[in-house]
Amino acid sequence: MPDEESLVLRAQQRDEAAFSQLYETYFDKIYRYVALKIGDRVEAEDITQQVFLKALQSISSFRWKGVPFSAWLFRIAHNQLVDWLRKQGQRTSVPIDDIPLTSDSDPQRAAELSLDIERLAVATRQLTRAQQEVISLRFAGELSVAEVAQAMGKSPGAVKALQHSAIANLRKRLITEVGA
Amino acid sequence: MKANPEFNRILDECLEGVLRGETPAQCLQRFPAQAAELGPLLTTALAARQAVSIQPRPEFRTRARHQFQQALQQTATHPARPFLNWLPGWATALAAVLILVLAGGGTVAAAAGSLPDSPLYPVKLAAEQVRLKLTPSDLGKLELYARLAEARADEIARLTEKGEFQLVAPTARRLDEQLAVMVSLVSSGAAAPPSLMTAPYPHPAPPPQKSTPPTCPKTGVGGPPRETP
Repeated sequence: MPDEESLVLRAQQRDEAAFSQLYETYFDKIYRYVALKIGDRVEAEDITQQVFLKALQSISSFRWKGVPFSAWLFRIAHNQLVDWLRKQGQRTSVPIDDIPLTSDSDPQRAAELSLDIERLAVATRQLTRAQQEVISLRFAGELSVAEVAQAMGKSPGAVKALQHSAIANLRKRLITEVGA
Repeated sequence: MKANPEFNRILDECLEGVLRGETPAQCLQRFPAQAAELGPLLTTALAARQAVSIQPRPEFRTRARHQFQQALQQTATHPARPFLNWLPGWATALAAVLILVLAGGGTVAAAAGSLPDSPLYPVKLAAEQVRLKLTPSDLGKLELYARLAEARADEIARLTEKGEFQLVAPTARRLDEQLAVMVSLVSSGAAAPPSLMTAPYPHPAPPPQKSTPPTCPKTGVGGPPRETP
């Protein structure tokens, strides 16, 4: 399988197969990242599509100057979210459990996950923006610490610290909800 | 948050494991001394990981893929055309000369030493195309291609020094193309001049003085005066 750098270079030369491969690699990750951030399935779909169309328009401007393609793509996703949130005028709180979880047809498993998602989505929104971003990029976007660092413009050490504090604070929120 | 570097290192390692699909129990087996503190954090991380395991609706995925493929095909059928290649030969030369004169001799001079990562690099390539198109003889073209090949080799060396490895491949392709043209010219009977391998590539011109007019295209933009064959 060609490495990502050669795929991106080919995509910049309008190689359809190369760009399609990048699309398939990142589609679900971008969708999860967006869906976790805004909790709205329909809007997450539209935003996800806009991210890839924007990437198609601007890929010729991408340069491998220490920033991996994933960080560049998630930066586009972040900017699309910022624009969307600005238009909305508020942070949405549409329950994320309207979104299909997996293709698993087990209703009991789906119900358990649904409950967890609802609690975790509420808890995540009570974190700081930076902690939310780290959780979204690491857990939904499946980016490495280095990639998250480059996407957020922070050091890997800072990302790890944010990850630690995000997990610890999530735990506190969840315990508080259970105890309430 | 705990300010214990060792604990943080272990937590980092275990979180990486959970994100890769490892269970908390597997990590806690490796670090039993930290289990009491690690366990709840890893359980939370696992719950978060499972919570985001959502999938796009199949109908959206299909629709989005189709729309994206359409957009991709549109950009493929209307690509960014290579500079000047859409014009017939004489029009290419004329357009290139006009562009370069309007851009100013200073711009061309500044571009002469540029690398592929510079915004002036297309100007450099355009100037080379102009010189080639304004060189009527095969012998002249052969000598010019030799100089351009040296320039490509120099760019590759400088890119490698800078660590810009991703730009080496396309530069090497240009070098290959220019060497192929040289072989073709030699095969067609344009004998290699004695000076071919020793003539140095013109050094990048210094920034022009403000009063310096643009270089006359007939003499070769940015190059020394040439004798007409």
